[in-house]
Amino acid sequence: MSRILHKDDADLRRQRRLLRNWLAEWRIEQILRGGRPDGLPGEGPPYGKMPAPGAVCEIGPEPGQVWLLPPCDEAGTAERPLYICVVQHVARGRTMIVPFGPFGSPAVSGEWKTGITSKPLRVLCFWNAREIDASMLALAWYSGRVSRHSCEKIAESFLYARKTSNTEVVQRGGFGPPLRHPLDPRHQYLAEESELFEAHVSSMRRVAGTDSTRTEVAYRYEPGIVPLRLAAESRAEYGARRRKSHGTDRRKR
Amino acid sequence: MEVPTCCGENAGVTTIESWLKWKEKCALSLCPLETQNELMEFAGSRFTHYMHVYATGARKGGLLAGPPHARDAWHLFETHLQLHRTREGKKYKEWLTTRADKSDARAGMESGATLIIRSAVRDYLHGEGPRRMTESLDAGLCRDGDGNILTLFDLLPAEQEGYSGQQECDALAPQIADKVFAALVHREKVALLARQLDIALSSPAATEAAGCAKSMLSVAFMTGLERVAETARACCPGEDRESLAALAVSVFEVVRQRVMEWGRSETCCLSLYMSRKGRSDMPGART
Repeated sequence: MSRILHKDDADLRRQRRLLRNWLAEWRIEQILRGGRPDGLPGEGPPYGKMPAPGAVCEIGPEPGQVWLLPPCDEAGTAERPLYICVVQHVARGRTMIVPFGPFGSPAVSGEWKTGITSKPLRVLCFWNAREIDASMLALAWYSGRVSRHSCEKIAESFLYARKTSNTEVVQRGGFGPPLRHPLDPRHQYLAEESELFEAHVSSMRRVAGTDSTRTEVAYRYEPGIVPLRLAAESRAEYGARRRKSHGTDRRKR
Repeated sequence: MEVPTCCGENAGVTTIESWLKWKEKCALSLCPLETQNELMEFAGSRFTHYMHVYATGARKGGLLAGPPHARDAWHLFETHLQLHRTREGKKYKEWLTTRADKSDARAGMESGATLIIRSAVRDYLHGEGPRRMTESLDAGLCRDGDGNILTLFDLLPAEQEGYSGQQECDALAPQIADKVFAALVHREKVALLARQLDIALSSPAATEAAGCAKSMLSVAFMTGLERVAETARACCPGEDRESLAALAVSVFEVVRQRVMEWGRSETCCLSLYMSRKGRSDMPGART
């Protein structure tokens, strides 16, 4: 194979710089995970009981709010306090939530640096967004809200990430670098984060007694992944299919 | 400076009463002096422990700045997850106590706090480490399955300009992808498919389709990824690493398409698609 020429432009340099920042944190995290203090009962197993529905907070979710998800009996949920941001209402009783990431730099092009200095709120993982039944947040702790300016920026970036092609997202400031190589450690990171959030959401759904047919709708925003549609899948516009399924859910109830 | 490995015989021993008092008073400075010392000692000993773990793991013991004083360690712990200074902004304390709600509450509190301190140490080390702008882009970042060092040039290879390299990549990738796909075992295909469909490997749909537990499926996911890169390298042994990196990316793209095509024809994978029902019509999904 002849030698490949480089288009070493500013975007590529920026992406590599972002990736280097993220990998530095990831590398430290991996080393620290390897050592557990002697005499401790362990960091892994979940311990607590999830609070009863409605016992924690009766505030209704609004865009810009930050909530802390409780630890529960699902493996992994007691590993790290997980904050989420309410991004938007999508339908009656349904709301879109996005988890905050553990690191200070966005890992992939579906993650976005918020500009908020508070450490738990530095990066939003749009790729891990979920539409949930709003009643599920009654199990979580309301922890405040971002400023109106931040809220507008979050909403704008969320919509932008959903509607824009992968390449364009990458070129916009605040978004992380693309994931391309099979040996990239970010594959492991994404699998772990996906598992953690899934554990939280599924246990909250179980405790809240949400109908399983009204399960959250999720999508990821991982670069390069092009899910093929099943033959029976429609290409309905955003919202159209959801309204339909919502109506079906109501009929079932 | 060398990092100490211990902080005295009773360092880091706490009582559940101290933790609850701290939660009730909201700030450690409002607690009795004994409680303050106890909890600060705990934070200091855990912080020191993780600094030592890092120094050992990264072989940078002599280069590390010393761990902060116990008071500083406590401050870093207490503020790490704090959103603002009201009770509302300190809900992580609720997380800690809920997590510790079991027979041995003290141990639960300590392990939860230790996890938070671990994250605080990570941020501390990252902030205190060398400036990222001064590091070479060609510096080794991680290792592949064969122990080869990967750099930023490998993980984010440049766009290929001109026609020769790109054309050769495009021509070679499908052939190599066929070899990769033929070598993938069932659970590796399922793992790659599940991740491509944005399904957690721990989900019942994924484990049932793979016929194994989630831990085995996680391993299969990593071995499947390694197989892609290894096969690309084995098929073009004489190529330089930049070309191999670009080829691995191209092959990976084709393998993912192959896996998707395979999944659509496999009955055992039906549950994966069913659990994803309703997701593909979201605009964020790639089409």
